[in-house]
Amino acid sequence: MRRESAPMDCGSFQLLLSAYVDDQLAPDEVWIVHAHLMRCTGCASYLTQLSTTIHAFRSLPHAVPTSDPWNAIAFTLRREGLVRPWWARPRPWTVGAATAGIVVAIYAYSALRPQPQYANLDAYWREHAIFTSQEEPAFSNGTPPLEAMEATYQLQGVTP
Amino acid sequence: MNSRVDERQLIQRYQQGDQSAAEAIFRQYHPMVHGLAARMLGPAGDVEDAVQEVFIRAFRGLKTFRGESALKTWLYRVATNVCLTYAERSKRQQTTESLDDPLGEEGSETKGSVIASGDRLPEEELLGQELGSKIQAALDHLSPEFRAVLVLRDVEGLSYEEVAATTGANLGTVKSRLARARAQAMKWLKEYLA
Repeated sequence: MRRESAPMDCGSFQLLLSAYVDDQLAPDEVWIVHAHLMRCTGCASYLTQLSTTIHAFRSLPHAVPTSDPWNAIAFTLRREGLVRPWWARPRPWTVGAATAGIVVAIYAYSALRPQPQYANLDAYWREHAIFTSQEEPAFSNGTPPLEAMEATYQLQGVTP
Repeated sequence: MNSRVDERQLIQRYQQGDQSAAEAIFRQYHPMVHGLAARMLGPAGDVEDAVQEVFIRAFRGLKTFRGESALKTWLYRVATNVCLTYAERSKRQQTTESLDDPLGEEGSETKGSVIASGDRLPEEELLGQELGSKIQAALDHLSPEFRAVLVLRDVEGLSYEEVAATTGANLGTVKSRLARARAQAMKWLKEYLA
């Protein structure tokens, strides 16, 4: 329902004009504004002035930053534990990769390490647990097995 | 749409502690926050300090940000709150420091009495300045709440709803504050814009 144009003092009316300029009035309020503006030159002039002022604000150049505060901000964020640089951040795949690397390194070391040289046959036999003790070889017939004899020949540089 | 998705990814990366994501957010919004702070606080204000505080507060809050509002709107809210605090602090300092100081040699008129009476500052202070500095001077003479709605609406171009969400005021209050702020600013700029 359209309201009648109730008498309104210009001060109160001029506050309406701000929303009027921004299309924020209800249709019946717009009707009141139009009716008032037709008979009040003071308010019509106010509307022109208001539009000019708003235009001036909207044409203000954007203030450009003259400094870069990022380093100070990042320092605070790191100190508070909110962020970490890329090299300090935990990554799940790095744990797996590190474990795999250690396993490969151990395997490579054991495969490539130099073989021990035996100073004598006793050392070889002890290494291969042929003797159960230092005193006597545990051979039933008192003769070392064939493999032990071959090793002995190898150590002595003799071809059987 | 894509920028919204990118933004969500950036926020998620930041929430996992990624410093480069924090820097990307900062680079994207630094000009906006700086622009708002510069208009809200004026050339004499601690704009750089305010900008730093805005981002530090924002990044603290962003850890639990759930994306219910756009990051831009949310940052405007943080920035407006910080700037209002700085503006209030600056107003208190000015009140205690200089409002009682005489403007001229005679000492009959003080800056405080000029502001209270709604008159302009001496004309020579305004003449010879560019439009930008005159408008900034008009802004500086508004109360922080009025200045906030005027800057958000007329300088930053936010809608009434966005201004309401940013300032935490309802739509009616925004309309009323904006109308009064524009009326006061108009008084200051009347002669220059005539």
